[in-house]
Amino acid sequence: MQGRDRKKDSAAYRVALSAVLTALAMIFSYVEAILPFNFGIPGVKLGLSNLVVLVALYSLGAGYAFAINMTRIVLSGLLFGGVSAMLYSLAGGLLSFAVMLILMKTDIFSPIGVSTAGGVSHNIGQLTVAALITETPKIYLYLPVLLISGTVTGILLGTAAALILQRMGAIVRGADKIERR
Amino acid sequence: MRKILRLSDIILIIALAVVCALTSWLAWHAGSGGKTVKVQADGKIYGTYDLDKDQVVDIDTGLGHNQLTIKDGKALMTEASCPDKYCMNQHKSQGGIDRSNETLICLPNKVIVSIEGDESEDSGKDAEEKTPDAVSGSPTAGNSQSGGENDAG
Repeated sequence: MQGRDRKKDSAAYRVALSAVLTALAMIFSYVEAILPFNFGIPGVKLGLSNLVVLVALYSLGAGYAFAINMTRIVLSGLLFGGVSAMLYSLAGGLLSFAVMLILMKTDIFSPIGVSTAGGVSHNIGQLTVAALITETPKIYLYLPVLLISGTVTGILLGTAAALILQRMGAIVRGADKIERR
Repeated sequence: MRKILRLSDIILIIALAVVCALTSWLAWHAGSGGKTVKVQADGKIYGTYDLDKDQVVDIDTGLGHNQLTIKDGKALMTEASCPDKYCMNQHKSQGGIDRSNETLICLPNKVIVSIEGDESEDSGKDAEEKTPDAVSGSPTAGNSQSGGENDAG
C-alpha cells in the first residue's frame, strides 16, 4: 500500500529483494513441477509462485512485481514447461496481474480478495488461450472446475500472503533501522 | 496493518461461489445424448466415428500419439504419448464420454475428442484422415511439456 512505502528504501535494496523473490518463485514452480497439488483434477494447480507475486505487489509495488512475474513465467516456462506451456502461463499471469493490480489500487479488498480475483482470472486467461489455440469454444465447459479451483487456491494464497505481509512488515522495518545506523 | 479478511472479501467470495454454482449447473445441463465421436487434432478435423460401433482409433499427429477406444457407446482415451496422461483419466470413472457437452482433451498433442449430437451428422470419415502434413509448430515443443506446467487441462 502506498502509505507503507518508505522513501529511505534504496533501489539496491528493492532490486536485491526482487531477485530473492524471483528465486523463491522459481523454487515454488519447481516444487509444483515435481509435486503437483492437483488432486487428480487436470488443470488444477495451487500456483505457489503467485504467492510471491502477490507479496511483491504489496511490498515492492507494481513495477517490481511485474518484473518478478514476467521473469518467473519466462524462466520457469523454459526450465520446467515448454514454449506452449509458457503461453498458457503468460496469459494467466498477465490477466491475473492486471486484475490484482487494479483491485489493489482501488483498496476495496484485502490481499485475500485480491488473490481470489487473481486466481480466478488466471484460470480464465488460460482457458481462453486454450480455446483460441485449439479453436474449441467447447473447452469453456471446463470453466466451473477452474472457477472453483481458482477461488479456493486464491483464498489459500491470499491468506498466506496477508500473514506473510504482516510479518514481513516487521522484518523490513528492522532492516530499515540497520540501514539508518 | 488492516484486518486480514474484510467484509468485501467475503462478498466477493460468496459472489464467486454463486457464479461457480451457476456455471456448473449450465455446463451440467448443456449436453444432450450424442451419436458420433468427433476427433480434432491441431485445430483440424481428424475424423468422425460412430459411437454405437465398438472400435479402436489411433490418432497420430506430428505432436504425438493417442489411442481412442469406443466401446459400449462410450469413448475413452486409452493411450497417450504425452507425459501427463490427463486425457486418459478424463471421464474414466464413468467409462467414457457419450454426451455432447463432454470432451476428452490432450493439450500437449492438441487432440480434442468431442461428442456430436444426432442432428449434425456431417461427414462419415473425413478426407483429412491420417494426413498430418500441415501440422504446424515444432513437435519437440509439444512433447517436452511437463505435467506440472500443463495448467489448462
